[in-house]
Amino acid sequence: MKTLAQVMLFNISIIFAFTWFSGSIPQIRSAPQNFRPISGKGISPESYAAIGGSIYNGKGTCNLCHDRVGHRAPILLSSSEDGPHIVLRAVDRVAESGYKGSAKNGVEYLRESMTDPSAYVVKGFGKVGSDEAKSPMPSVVYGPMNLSPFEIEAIIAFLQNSAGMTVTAKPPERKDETAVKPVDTGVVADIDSIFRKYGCTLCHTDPVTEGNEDVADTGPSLTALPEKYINGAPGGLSLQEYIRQSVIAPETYIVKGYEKGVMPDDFADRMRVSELEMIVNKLGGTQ
Amino acid sequence: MFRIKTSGLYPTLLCVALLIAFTTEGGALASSLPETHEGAYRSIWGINSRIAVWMIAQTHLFFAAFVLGVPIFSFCIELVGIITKDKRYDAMAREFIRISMTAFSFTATFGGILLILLVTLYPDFTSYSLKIFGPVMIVYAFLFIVESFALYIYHYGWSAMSDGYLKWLHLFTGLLLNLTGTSIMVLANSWASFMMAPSGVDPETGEFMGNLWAVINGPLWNPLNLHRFVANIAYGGAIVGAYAGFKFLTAKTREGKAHYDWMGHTANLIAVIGLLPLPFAGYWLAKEIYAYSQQMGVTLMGGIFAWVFIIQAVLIGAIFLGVNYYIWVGLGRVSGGEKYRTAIKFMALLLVACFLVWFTPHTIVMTGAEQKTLGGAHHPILGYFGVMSAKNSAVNIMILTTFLSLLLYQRVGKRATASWALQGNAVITALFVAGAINVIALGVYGYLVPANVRIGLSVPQVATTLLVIVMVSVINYGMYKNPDKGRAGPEWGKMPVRSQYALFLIAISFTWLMGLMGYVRSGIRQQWHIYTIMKDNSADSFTPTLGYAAKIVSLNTLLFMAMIVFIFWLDNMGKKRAS
Ligand code: HEC
Ligand code: HEC
Repeated sequence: MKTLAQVMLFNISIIFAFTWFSGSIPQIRSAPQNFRPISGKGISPESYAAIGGSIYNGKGTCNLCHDRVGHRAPILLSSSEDGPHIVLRAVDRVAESGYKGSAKNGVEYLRESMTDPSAYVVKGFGKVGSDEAKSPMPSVVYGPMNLSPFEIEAIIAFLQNSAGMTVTAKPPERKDETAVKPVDTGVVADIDSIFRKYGCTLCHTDPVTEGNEDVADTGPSLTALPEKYINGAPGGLSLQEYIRQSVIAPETYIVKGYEKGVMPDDFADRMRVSELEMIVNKLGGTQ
Repeated sequence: MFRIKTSGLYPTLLCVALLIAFTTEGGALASSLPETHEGAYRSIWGINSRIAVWMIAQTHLFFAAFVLGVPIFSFCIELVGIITKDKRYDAMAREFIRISMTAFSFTATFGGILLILLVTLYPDFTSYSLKIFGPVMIVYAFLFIVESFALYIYHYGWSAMSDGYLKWLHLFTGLLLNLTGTSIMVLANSWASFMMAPSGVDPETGEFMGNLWAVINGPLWNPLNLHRFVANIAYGGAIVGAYAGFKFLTAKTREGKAHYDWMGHTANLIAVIGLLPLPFAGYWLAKEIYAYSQQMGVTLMGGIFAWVFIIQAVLIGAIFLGVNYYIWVGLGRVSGGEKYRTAIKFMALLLVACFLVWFTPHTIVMTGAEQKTLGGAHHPILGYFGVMSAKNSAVNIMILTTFLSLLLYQRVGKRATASWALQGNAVITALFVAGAINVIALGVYGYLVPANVRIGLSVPQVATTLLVIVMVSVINYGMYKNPDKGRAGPEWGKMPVRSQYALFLIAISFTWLMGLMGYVRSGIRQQWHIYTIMKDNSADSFTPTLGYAAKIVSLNTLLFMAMIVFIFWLDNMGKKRAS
């Protein structure tokens, strides 16, 4: 019995050591990924580019490959050994004699690079064994990234912005959006999936999952509203009232330092009352 | 009777599930990708569905690995017993099949629970999977019945079939048992690999395209098969080793101690033999993942899961150190073992150094905040040791060192009988040195070439290691072929207590590692139930932190350990009653 106890103690301490070690390294939790695209009505070019930036670094995972460190793919955001900034390079690509894709100009080339990467394969980066005929980059439309037209255009806006050029990419027309409107999958049981369903986390630091501080700063952080408005919410409202107003009528009050017209104003039409109440309770700290 | 009932439970449940699947409506499968619809996610008693399925599936897999690995072990040991005519082997093989019997019912029970959970908690996912894999599952259920029969005959017929050709017939049932067991694993693998890399279905609609073989034989199926098969052998050895270690510690008699010491040693040997090729099998799997989807590959190695490999390095390091430590202490069983003391110190240092290189993190791209604190995605100095080139070299050197430990153990107290022993030793030394130099040189060269060439470099590294192992084994065999009469055999039982703890360390680390890597394999699908085909729309479609995953894995390991202790205790009680 004594031996059994000793052995068990030994084993349990090993398990504890492993658990402790795993907890001691940086903890990363992925942002929930299946949120649906948001409405782009009245968005300013800068905000649109900012949204593109968060998709580029987040959901689109572009920076997994297009970074200097691993150099698994050509550098895009600056000039480098791979050529000038991608927005400038795109124009050259289309003009190349060997170019066989269907893009007519730089912007179309960018779009094509995302939706049909193998249309043009950058030398030296082709899929191993494909003789430079196939791109290792997955199409962003299908499969794991599953980006919508809204998001693809946002990335183009981001690329243009990062080149210091005027942002010409615009959110697609409304009719395209209806296709990608949030699908109501029934009663949503928890706050986490509500935030995801309406894409709040695309612009706001996720108040449910922590540790994504840099991912979303298009809108103010929502993690500590009770502390922020400890001396009363804007407009003399109670905190709960204010949050409700911010969600269903965001334009009524614009938080300092942020822009008008960025946050979608159609949540009132799309949301269930019970969902709105859960948001209010969560953000208002009355949950 | 109890046992027969529970192991029959699983096929019965499968048939019921198939019936449900074939009789319910298909939903909107045809026009677009299969989607989970309203009510697609349920939860019972407020338990988180993901955790429930995760834990039960993992427990099922632990037991499955046990009942797959241990019979392979028993079969090999029985064969060795027949060849060497050493009765100890036969007794040991039998002892383990007895224990497998209970573990077998546990496996079936947990498989049944898993199935019930999948059907109730993830109905849409399950009915889609059953539709695609229906026929496979029927074969699976059938094989399960065959396996049960083989197991009963193998176990209950042991004494009755112990002589002459009957013994060979008995061995044949053991083979049948292992063949069906492995086939069952391979079929189950096809479901797991389909979820990661679906094939044989229309990528736009998720509909079955008519060729079942194409569905089964997906891009990741064979790498997964190999990896799990090899790991199960090593795992069987590790678990048996821990059992022997415990029995050794509690044995009261000298014979008992000798028996269990010998058992621990043999089990450890089998674990090492499984362990040596395991990194290569893992490498192949990772390579195929990259080839299938570069994005999945990058998520695995450079994305949110990159830190897992640091934990994996710690665990594998622990296993390698444990294994080597046990072999080194084991040198004390044989007179003449002392003379290797300096060599051992050097080898220990080498292992630790390799371990540190392997342990060094590299491209950890994640949150911006982290990158800011680190000043880039990798550490300014340590980053150099963190790339795959250095790590691959380290693993190869670790494997070579472990092989050297085995070689020393095999040689201790013996005298080479071949006339060319001196030259033989020189060649062996040269092979080791040349192998190590080649591995390291390739590693250094890896820094100078672009990434896609670098990936290819690990192939010659692995080839070098394997070549050294094979050639040295052959030469060594030649040198020691003729038995040396003057040799004093090992004194079984002459092992200090602490050495046995190495066996526990190996078994626990192995179990934990399996749990962790299983989580990773499953987690790299990210927000997909079936990658690119069926999206996970549940509240749990995010990747939890590693600390969180580690807690679940630990809980699972503890539970499994408790159940294994329970099984051994039952077995002990049964034996006491019998005698
Ligand atoms: C799995 C790795 C990977 C991911 C993720 C990835 N790419 Fe790529 N990308 C590549 C590779 C490799 C190339 C070069 C081969 C080619 O031309 O397709 C490339 C090429 C490109 C090009 C053309 C570059 C040139 O010089 O012409 C653009 C533009 C681009 N990617 C944009 C993106 C964007 C935007 C994202 C995120 C939505 C993204 N990529 C995600 C691997 C990736
Ligand atoms: C397209 C980006 C975007 C999305 C999507 C978005 N917001 Fe906002 N949100 C903003 C911006 C920008 C502001 C600041 C300007 C303003 O007050 O309208 C803001 C402000 C707020 C505020 C006021 C915060 C304060 O500090 O006073 C709340 C509360 C809020 N949002 C909640 C939500 C919730 C809940 C959702 C999801 C249902 C959501 N937002 C989705 C961009 C967004």
